[in-house]
Amino acid sequence: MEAAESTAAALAQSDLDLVERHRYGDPAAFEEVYRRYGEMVYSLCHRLSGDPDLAADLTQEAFLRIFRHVGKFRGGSSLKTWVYRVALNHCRSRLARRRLFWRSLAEPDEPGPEAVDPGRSPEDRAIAHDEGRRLTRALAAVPVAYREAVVLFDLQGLSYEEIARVLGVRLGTVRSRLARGRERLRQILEEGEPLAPESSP
Amino acid sequence: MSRHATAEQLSSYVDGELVGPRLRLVETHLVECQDCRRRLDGLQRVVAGLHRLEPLAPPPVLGQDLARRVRLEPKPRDLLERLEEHLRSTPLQSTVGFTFALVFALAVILYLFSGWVERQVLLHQPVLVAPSEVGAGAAVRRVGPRSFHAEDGRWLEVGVDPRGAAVVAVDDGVVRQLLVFEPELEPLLDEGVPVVLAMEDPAGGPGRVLEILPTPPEP
Repeated sequence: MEAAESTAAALAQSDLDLVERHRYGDPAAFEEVYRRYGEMVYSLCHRLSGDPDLAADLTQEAFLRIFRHVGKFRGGSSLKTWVYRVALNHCRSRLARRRLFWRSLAEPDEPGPEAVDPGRSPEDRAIAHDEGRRLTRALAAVPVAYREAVVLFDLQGLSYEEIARVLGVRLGTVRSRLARGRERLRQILEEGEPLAPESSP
Repeated sequence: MSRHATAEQLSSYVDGELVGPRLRLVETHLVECQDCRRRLDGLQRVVAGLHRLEPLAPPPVLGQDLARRVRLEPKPRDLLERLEEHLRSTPLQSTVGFTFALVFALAVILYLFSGWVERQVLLHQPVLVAPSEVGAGAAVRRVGPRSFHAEDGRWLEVGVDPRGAAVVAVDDGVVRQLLVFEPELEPLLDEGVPVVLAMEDPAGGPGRVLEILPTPPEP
């Protein structure tokens, strides 16, 4: 417990040091922010937009916002949470404005490059790829508020508390949205071919 | 539990969030209710499927594109800008004390700044050459805080490299000829810009302003 607390404190201090270096014009500081959170933000943008090209644009624009405003970060939350909030708000405004929150489900875009797991055989990867496409399509039909909770918890690995801070809602709301999002996904997928059981590789 | 388990109960059960009586309630119900067991099985498949999704890697060029765009951005605000913003965002206190403190601070800043300007002017004033005086007998002359000594028929400031100084030939107090320009004046004069130098009188009299006009183009 003490080790976890000291790790969290060290991380918070590291976040503040990074932001302070950025404030004083150290270009390496922002590069470090991108190195830490670039993949995380791209993945979020991709899962929310369903379009790899649009996700790249959204990521770039979100990081420009981060570049402009990270100097105002005062450590009230973790830098990771703050970055998520900026990226999510940017996705919401940009996608809602363009009415592209999810593209047509009939012709989904290619999922784009995935981080290849060397431990999986090509066959396993093909099955996972197909399953991933079906899940991605099903996720597209889930209402936005529920989808955000599912993406942040099940795909991005945030805790309930972190999601509550990112979304600016109470813990109970996070639980409720997550449960409804998962339930909706289950219903959509059961209407088609069911997914592999949990125990399958 | 007489009714079916809620979506939230099943979701929390999958995450291992239920403990104590709430956990026992759901588990007991699942033993009895085939419909809820089927829903739970489906939910577990969905969650496992989501967890199996590979993380998405950003295209490699994204970082390079971002670095290019960041280079076009204004630099992060410096200390002065942040102070200005802070002052703008702070509501002014219209108290006598605050006004007095503000006026006092401005007066101190002005005093310090004027002293700095004066020092800069003194340091950059050109050397005044008075051949007749130099010829009458070499000497060291003090003008305010500055010292000049005679060398090769002109006055040079002690401790100042004469190569960068403007040297003006005068005779009986009348400027006759501009001998050497300060290097940074040359481009200005080449562009036809008149240059005004504040001249110091080595005799301690009132200073003079010398306007140096560019050489007219040859016909």
